[in-house]
Amino acid sequence: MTSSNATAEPATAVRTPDEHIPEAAEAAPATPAFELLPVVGEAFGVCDLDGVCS
Amino acid sequence: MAGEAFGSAGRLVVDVWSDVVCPFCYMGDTLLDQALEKFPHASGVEVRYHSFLLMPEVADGDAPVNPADHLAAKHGIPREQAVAMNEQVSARARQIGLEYRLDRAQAVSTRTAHQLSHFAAAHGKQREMIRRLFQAYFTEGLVVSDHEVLADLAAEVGLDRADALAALASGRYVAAVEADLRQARQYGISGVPFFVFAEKYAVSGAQPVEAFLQALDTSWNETVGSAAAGAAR
Repeated sequence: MTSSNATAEPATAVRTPDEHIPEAAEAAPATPAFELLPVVGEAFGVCDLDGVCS
Repeated sequence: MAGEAFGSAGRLVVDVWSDVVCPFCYMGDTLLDQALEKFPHASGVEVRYHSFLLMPEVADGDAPVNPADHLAAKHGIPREQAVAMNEQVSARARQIGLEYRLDRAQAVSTRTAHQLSHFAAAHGKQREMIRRLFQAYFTEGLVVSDHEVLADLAAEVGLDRADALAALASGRYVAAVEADLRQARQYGISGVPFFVFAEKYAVSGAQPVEAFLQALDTSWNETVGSAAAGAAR
């Protein structure tokens, strides 16, 4: 796996659905209702499915 | 993971989706670890790792490839550019004390490594196993799809080598890996590391220690801490 520039982004915290998702069920992706927490410091980064880490 | 985030044992569960070959996953795990060292309720926190495939296009039998070569081929960029990108991430890792040697890393399918993670979880050694797998890939250039290599790593963290080898050969944990991948899709996770605290709060990506501490504080206070306060009333 590889990478690109590490960028400074907000520390993101999101709220996931309160209801549990059955593990056995193959369903369309859930859209979590995200609840952002205050920004704390400088993010390191994340790696996406396209193979780029930023 | 459903329904077990903060059960009767009064523990806070942190579920982590990551991949062995993900540079920011190793960093994120290290930063979470540093946050836990500062968290006063760390003994009440359980970290569980879930499988994610950052390179799903790589098949189990594919030959190892250097990550820079893989990136260059996948995105049609010069190899020098891919190497430079990796250098930037390696420099970031050095800031938190990790040694990345991506020049000798060997990118492979991680499906089998994830099976080993689940084997380790079944024996109470998942965290140690994950850390060992990261080091094997990022620092030592080991082929983390090779059963013999994986069995050696399992033994190093105190697991039974022969049992680990048998688990990988039999595919005992294939379904567990698939379940993790399925749940990641259901959560809409498209990048890792991805941390879920008490099934309520999620943090995407490797974040500073302070961010993880805040997530731990918030999720603890709203779950385990709240339950304890209620019981005391």
